[in-house]
Amino acid sequence: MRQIAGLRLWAVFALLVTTAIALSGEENSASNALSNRALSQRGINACIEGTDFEKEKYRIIHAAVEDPFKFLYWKSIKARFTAMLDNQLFTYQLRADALSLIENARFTPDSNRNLVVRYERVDVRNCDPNAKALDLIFRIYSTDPPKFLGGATESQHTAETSPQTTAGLTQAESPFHFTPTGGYDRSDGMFGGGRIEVGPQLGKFPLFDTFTAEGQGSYSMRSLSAALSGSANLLGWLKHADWRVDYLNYSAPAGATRLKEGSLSGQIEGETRPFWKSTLLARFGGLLQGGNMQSNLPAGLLPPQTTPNAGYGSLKGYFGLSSRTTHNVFSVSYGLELGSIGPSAQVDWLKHIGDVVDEFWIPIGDHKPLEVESRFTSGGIQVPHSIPLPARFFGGNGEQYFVPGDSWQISDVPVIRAIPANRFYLTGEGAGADRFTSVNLTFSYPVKSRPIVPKDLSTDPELDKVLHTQIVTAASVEQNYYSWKDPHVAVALNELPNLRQLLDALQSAVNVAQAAHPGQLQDEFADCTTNIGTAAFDATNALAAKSSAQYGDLSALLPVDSDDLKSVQDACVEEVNRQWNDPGIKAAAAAVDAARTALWNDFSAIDQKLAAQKAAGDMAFVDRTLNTLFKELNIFSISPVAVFDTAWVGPAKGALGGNRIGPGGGIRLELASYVNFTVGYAWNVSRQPGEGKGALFFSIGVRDLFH
Amino acid sequence: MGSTSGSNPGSGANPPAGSTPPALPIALKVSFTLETPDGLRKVSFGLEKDTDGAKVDWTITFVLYERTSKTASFGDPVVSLNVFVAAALHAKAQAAVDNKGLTPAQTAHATGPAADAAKAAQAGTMPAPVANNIIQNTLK
Repeated sequence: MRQIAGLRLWAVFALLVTTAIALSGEENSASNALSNRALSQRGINACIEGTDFEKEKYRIIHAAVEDPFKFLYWKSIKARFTAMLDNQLFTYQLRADALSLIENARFTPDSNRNLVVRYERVDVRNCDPNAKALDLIFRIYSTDPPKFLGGATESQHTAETSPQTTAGLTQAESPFHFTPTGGYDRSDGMFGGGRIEVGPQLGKFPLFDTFTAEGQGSYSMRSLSAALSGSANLLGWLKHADWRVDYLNYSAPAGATRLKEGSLSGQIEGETRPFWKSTLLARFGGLLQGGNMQSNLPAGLLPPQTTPNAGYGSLKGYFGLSSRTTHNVFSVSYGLELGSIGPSAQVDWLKHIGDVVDEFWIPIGDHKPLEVESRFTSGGIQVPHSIPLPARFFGGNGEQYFVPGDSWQISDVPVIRAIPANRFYLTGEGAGADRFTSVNLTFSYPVKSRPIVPKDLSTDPELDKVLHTQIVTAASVEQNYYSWKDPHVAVALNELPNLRQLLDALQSAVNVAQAAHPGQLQDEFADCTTNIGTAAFDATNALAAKSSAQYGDLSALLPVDSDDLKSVQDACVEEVNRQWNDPGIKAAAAAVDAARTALWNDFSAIDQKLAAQKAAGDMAFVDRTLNTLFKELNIFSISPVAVFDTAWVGPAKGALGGNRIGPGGGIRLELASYVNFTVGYAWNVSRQPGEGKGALFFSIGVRDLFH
Repeated sequence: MGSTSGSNPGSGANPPAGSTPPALPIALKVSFTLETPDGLRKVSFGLEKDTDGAKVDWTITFVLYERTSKTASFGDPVVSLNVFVAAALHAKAQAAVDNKGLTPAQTAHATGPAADAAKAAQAGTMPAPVANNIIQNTLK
């Protein structure tokens, strides 16, 4: 039976590889067809600046789009784009219409993101003045990343499997997402399921922005979860907060028993701004959970102080640090669970989890990174009173996490891919370990790959400029916020009511002087009045604004920006009063100038360097993630995988519990936004009686069907 | 292939054999979305360069969104307008595109005085030329 299942599995795998390669080839051919290096077959000619290509009746021989994320929309516009441009007479209107066609497919009118930089350029190339022919290239570089890209290791996984999510280009998609999932494990058999996500706005639930339901099942297991989640980006030391209400129900085989759980939980998590030279960020969270756990293990196999079935409540606290550098992402997490059985508030068990995850990659050749993923996890349980059996540790090649949700994944079981899920659990005291340690290493190197951004684009200085532009502009906005928080801004703002009065007094003096010189210097007078009005407008808005917009209004009065108070002096003193020499204007203008000097002194005392440092720190993780995404990640890759696991469960006694070692190998295929799967086999080289020789591991994620 | 002798230096001369001549840009659109950190105001500040033969035009597209709370949607823009950039500021516009992003002063101006001026012009409390001038000052 196992052989038949294995053969079927390999057949499915072969089919998937074939399909994925075909999909990759389709992407590849589209890319090649549109590469500006392979346009029309005429000779390569320079295009002459100043040529009016419409007036001279040039014809478009070939039109192309260069866009790293063209795969998101190209199929929907390819026919119209080609019909619109190929072999048509060039007109500027046609150029604009084609750009609109691309924009409408590529962008949404009002993105909810806040770091958007669009860069669109239309080039002509390969102009032939004799044949009156040219090639037309539309270059679209735009990303729209969320300002919050999450923790280190989890965000790296998102970038690898769904680059458009990291780049923030999922806005045009349906709010309804469905992603089929599946896999195989000897305990669970072949299982399948899916994930439904509805978001980002849930009108009737203002606290929540996403609903997620996920389920998987096979002939021997089922797992179902449903969650409402929300999040907020914050302005203080806490950068981001998530909250989530989650329902979970599962039933899974575990050797001689079956583990079942139904629970409802509420959790909240926070993430700080980066610190320590912008290389670290801290995360923390809490979860309150209640439900019941069940098992059907014979009493003789139960460890001491363990009950097979119980209603329970638990409180979990967890915190950690994450880091992202150029070629490394790292997270370390600690979690503590205080559990209680029944209605009493006493702590019946305590569970400690430590989890360290690291992923680094060394580029060997263009877009050929040697990746090393490593995970070290350790756990321990203290039982002052009693604990339900499913709360103990059951290891194997199934992954389980300490808290639900994707944003922070803290492993809380011993993972060893050579043993089927939940089958590594027998200890010297019975079923279910009360302590464990596991180390998991995965090495991969792509033998075939295609980058998200083709090499001629990734080395294009324009793309580098756009990426840099985005970060610089976003950091500028952040810097203004930190500057606005500087206490010297408040001091300067306190001077604005007086400035308003002085500007009114100057306007009155100018009015009096003009009445004394009817019909003279009308343009100069109008200019003076306009400039007084503009400065008053700035001061009024600065006082009325409640947010960092105050900073911009204040800046406009001073040399750091348009220096509107200097313009008042130029227009009213230099232009008007140089001729009239009116003492009233002179005195009033001098008072305004003195106020300007005082205001500028306060403004100059703002610690701009500190504000710039904080802003750069805020953007550091986003900057590094985008750089990795555009310059190093592949949209398609096939990689041989080598794995090495070692896991220990206790208390050990003879053949029960102890250490297992599982080397293995397999293959991983990733076609970002379409499918990714890993299949392989790991050997249990230190197996004990009753344990298999090894285990097949297989997992698959298919593209969002509503993408 | 026709001869390109007599073309503009640097752009029209045919390249040496084996090299690829640079593409000639005939349109450029760059836009920056600037959201204030309190999340209540968002400005899309766009710079568009059009080259129709020898003539070059720069246009600012200025779109302002506001909302009363971070949980609400921005919805339709409060103000959306196009401002033709004065020839004297063309070099500044090109610099804003070439300078790898908007400076803190430029973003402060766009989300502060320029946004206020656009609203005032929309409400009729500020003459449009004055508002346009304030919006163009973002480039200074």
